[in-house]
Amino acid sequence: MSFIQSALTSWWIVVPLLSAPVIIHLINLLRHKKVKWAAMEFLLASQKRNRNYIRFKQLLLLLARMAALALILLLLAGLVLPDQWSKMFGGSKVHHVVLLDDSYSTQDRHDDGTVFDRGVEVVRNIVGQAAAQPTEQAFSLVRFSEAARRESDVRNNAISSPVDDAPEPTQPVDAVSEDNQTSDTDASPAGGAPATETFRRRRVNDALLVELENSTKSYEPTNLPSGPLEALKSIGHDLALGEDEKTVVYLVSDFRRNQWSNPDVLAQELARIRELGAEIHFVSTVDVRQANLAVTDLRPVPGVHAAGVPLEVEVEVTNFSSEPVRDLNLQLASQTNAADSRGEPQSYSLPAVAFDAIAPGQSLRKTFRVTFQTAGDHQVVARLDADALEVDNERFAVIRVLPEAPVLIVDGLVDSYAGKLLALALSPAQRVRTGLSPRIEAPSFLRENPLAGFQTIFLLNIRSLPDDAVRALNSYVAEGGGVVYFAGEETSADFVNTTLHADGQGFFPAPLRAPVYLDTSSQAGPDLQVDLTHPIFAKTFGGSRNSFLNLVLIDRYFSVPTGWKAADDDNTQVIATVRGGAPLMIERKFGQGRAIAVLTTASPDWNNWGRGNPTFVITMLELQSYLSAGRSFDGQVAVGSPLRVDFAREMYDPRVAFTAPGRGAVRRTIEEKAVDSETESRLREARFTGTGRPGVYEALLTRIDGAEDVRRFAVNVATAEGNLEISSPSDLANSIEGVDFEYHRSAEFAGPSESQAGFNVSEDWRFFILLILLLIGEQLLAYSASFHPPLKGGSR
Amino acid sequence: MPDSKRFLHPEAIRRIQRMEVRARHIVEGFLSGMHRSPYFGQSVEFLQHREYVAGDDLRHIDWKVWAKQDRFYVKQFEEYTNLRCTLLVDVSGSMRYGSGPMNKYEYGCTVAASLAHLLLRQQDAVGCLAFDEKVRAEIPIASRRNHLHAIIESLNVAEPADKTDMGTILRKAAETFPRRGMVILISDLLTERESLFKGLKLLRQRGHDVMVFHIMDDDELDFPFSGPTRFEGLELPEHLSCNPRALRQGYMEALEEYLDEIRRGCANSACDYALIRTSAPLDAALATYLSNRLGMHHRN
Repeated sequence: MSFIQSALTSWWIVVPLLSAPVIIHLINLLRHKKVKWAAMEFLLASQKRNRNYIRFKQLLLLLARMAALALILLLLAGLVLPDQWSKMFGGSKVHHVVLLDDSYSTQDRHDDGTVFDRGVEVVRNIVGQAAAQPTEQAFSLVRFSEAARRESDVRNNAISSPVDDAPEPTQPVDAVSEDNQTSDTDASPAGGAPATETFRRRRVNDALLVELENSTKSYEPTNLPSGPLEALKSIGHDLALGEDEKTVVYLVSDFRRNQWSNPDVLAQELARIRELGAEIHFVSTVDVRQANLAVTDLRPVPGVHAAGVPLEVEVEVTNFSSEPVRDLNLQLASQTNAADSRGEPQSYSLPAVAFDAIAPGQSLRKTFRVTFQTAGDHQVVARLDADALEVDNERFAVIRVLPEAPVLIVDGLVDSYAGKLLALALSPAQRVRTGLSPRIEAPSFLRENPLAGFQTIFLLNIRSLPDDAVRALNSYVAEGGGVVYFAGEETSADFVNTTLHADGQGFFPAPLRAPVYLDTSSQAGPDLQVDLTHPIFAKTFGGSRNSFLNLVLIDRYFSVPTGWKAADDDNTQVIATVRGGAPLMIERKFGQGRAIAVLTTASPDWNNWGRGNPTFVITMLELQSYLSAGRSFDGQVAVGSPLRVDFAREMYDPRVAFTAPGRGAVRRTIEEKAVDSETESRLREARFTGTGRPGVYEALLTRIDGAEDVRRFAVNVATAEGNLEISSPSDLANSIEGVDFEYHRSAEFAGPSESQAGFNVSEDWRFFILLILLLIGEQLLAYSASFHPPLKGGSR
Repeated sequence: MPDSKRFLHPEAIRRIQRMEVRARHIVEGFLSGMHRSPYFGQSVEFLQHREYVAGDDLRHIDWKVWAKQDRFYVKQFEEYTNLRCTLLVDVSGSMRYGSGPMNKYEYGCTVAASLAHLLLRQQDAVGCLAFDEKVRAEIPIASRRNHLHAIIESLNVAEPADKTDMGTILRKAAETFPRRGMVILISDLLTERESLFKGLKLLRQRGHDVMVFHIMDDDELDFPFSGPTRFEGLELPEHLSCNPRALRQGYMEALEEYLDEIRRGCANSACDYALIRTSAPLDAALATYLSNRLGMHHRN
């Protein structure tokens, strides 16, 4: 038997309180009034007759008052009945459910270790205190990442790692398992949550204490941005609660503000848990917000990524602090792997990027230029100096650099000037390296060869195309490719309208009417007027006088039907017009890719643009760069997200070896078996879910002929979790208004209170009813013993 | 309460300091409210005629005068004293209890004085004996008008004894007043009942008409006390600390038994008995007296 407020049970409170009725009785005896009385004989007769009965009633009254005071004291002190007693009231078991935050913000390092270490210590304390209780205690541990993984598995209902195949046993309500645990290999399960011993409704005893002590030594925070929602959802679902037990839920977290960005949903879950009858305790493991800088983005600017061709890389640093940061240097490093092998990478050093100042809570982007001389996968790593949270100080990018970027030019006329001019514009000369490798082919090429390898496809003077070529083009654009269509003498408006545009079903941006001559008499100004805000023109021509563009003369062009407006379609826009406003260049976003129709010739037949005007070359290069952006996969994957590798089933072995970065320089390789793709029958898909650590991951595909093909992915942490701003207790209370919870700081939280040790009588309404009955009985007894004034008439 | 009675209430009477005045006030007030003239003696000596007023006994109308004058006259006779009345007034310590404007002693003395005044006015002879455990004062029977003062003086006992020895006193009264007459006992009767009843029987055996005015305080009859109280006996040495309400029921039962015993004892001895509360108007005793007197005459 124990008490929550044990101070109330000290003798200097109990003894005076319980003796109060006796003392008051004695005082009343001393305070009596004196009456000189004549008829003493009747009084004495009455007293003689009723003496024993009166004394008995007075004794009962005294005992009732003392009992009522004792019961009030017990309720205030929070009497916790031991097991054998509490069973009479149906409260024999306490189930401690600990939801442990292991998101990467808990890697926040303080003087006494990480925030996660504090959380683990809280877990140990809870179990240690529970073990000391006399009643039956059960313990469950749910880590945020673990709950998120389960939720993700359920949602995806997809392939999982071998560890995930072991279903989590859900115990019957009354059963307390002694051996309910699974172990794991070094491989992280899906979602990046490290596998640990699973504690589900385990009986708290010395063996569990030892097991937990050993198990928690290997506990580490994840690199995931897991929030509390999934862990809360698991209570009552994955983790069933018993009706005959008392459940105490501890949310052990750092309570970062970003995790509570959607408090309504959390409040809903917490309210549900309260409705299940559980107590909720918030245990905050951090109370000081530390400064943190994070590299929140690192990716190459879309364009031609070819060996020897300078490319731009964008990097973003965010200041998750309350103070501005000045004179910041971002260190950059690079490693190069050959594209087709897994050999030892070659390291390059890159100059640091300097940031003058970043305001609190703000992000700053910078672009730096880098030239990779060799083809292959180049890993770029941006690092900041160490701070409280290290994991977001580093960010990875994988840039696949090709020897040359192939560009397909499909010319409707064999060996035409237009095709040669365009090829020359895209790849002027060896000394001016663009990295592009133009290839001029006939229209039949489209139906006979895969198009996926080409950065961009230019269509010139196409009269017509077979249906399968049109389908291939549509698929190419829809999957992220870029197509430029130049009109010409051979262009058939009917073919374009019915097949390529197809009332908006095809990639072609607009229907055509007929070639017309530009009316130069009606309106002054240059023949070619471009949208200088468009990325193709903004970079080169924006903000300056473009005398060369003004020299472009347009003679003929294809007109669009009267009444056609680009504004009718959200994905279509006119990016250049002729004098008078008629569309000359129309862009359309189609699927993942884009198509641009240039309604005049590439060759200087209907215009003079390609005849010695330098803006033609620049525009064609920008056009190519712009359109190829849709196909440039930058290999960015968030930690915890699965890696998916698609490959042609007839070309590769279904076994794919994934190599993941490990602790330090150790790398580990897991082989996954690919399955048939659900979306495309000719493809297989391999999926790797163990992306728990940021870094560069490799997927090794083995071709049927024995050659190897490596695909690399940069896995980085989610950026928002780096914001270490803390929700204060009042913020939490406001955000989940209406939900009862107790807030503790980990430093002051020693474990479950006595109230959770057994059956707390102060929480059982039956004891309050008993108290009320006792007080009513006391009043009736007092009235019966004539200690109250009579109901009728006065008294003296 | 009729207006005339209003001035007979103990609270009003208490304001009158002199007992003589008090007695006269009570008697006059009492008589003024009577519709039946008390002035009808038992003598045959004619005194005068008086015009009939409403309330006069029709038996006393002189029909001859009516026949002559066609007017109603009543005949009035000179009364003669045929009543010797002895007032036995208890002045013991227990009579000193009172919760109202007058304690039992004051009330009893006032009743005694009023009766004496009434009797003397009717030219009866009145004597008085004030007692506690022994006779404290004794006034012989006389019918002088100024005899009232002597009676009132005799009732003024400063230091009463704690006990009442009713048997001895009644025996003493029987010996002191051997001639037949009326004995009016005014007491709270808190004494030994056996000796009381013996004494009453003795008085009856001696031929006295005995009338008992049992004076009790409201508190004694109702016992309205509550809260821790220490009762200290006025006559008995005992004291009792108790919760009065717890004892009330037993007290009331004992009181009822006692009153029943008194009533039975008085009835057995053929004594008239009247229980009078000290809160009752003071003419109640006079009314009881006259009512009983009439009854006695009828009975005799």
